[in-house]
Amino acid sequence: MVDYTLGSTGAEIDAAIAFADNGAAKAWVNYNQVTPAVNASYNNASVTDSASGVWKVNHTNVFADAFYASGYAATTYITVLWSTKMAAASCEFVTLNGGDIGVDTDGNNATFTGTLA
Amino acid sequence: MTYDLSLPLQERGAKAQEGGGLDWRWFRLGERERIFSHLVGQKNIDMPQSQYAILWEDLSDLDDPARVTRPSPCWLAMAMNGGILPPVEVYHKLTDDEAQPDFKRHTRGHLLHKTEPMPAMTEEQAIEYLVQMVVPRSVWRDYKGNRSVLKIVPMSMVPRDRSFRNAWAINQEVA
Repeated sequence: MVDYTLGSTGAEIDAAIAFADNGAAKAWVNYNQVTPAVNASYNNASVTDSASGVWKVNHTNVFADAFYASGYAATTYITVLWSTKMAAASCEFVTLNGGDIGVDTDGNNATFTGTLA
Repeated sequence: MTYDLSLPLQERGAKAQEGGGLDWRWFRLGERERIFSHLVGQKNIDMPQSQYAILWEDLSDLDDPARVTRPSPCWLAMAMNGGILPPVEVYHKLTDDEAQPDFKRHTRGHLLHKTEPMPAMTEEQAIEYLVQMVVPRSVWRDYKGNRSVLKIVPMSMVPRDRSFRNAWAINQEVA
């Protein structure tokens, strides 16, 4: 079990607090649907692998409403992407193979901007 | 103690350290994650993947394949650190709000930031929290049928071959 006792000192904490002011995206995630696993993220509690090419991002700090913006890029495949079923607490993506077949991608990158609750 | 989250961040940062440690309650939930991840990075502490996956079936569409939910490593680390995440009941309240037909926007977002945070959890407790957070209550709380529609399993039990991903279902024989 990992020990998350940070034992950080005042200067370290001050630097981290200053860093907290700098974030632009309200949430982002790098997700590998093949394994499946979240590689790295911010404001992301989990990702649900729902079917081939279908995955839902669950936000830790939910958005104020469903009218926020999402952006997407894949690192390995050229895919068509739909961002569907947006809710304040989550956003579901569908990655396609250029047609209408869902495809799993190992490098899904999604960002979100908008107003947090 | 009241935590005035309207104060400038640096001012709240100073107050958060007055007790000698770091009182996360002086920060909004999103700020807590930025500070936490930065501190973890400074200490070069690895945030490993969870060894578990949540398998569940969406009872609103039984034709859909089984879902596989995995936590973000940073979220899991925050859960295990303690003092950061709100009680899961906060998410239930927000979910109920959003389900209202006249919902326009959240007006109780302060619950995320001002409710007394959860203490440190074990990984298993964190996964159970995540079940209640992201899986519909119709699945984890209300389902009374005989089928197993929700399981927490080691990742080793999740198939590596995704050729037939859209046909995945929870194995009832090992329920």
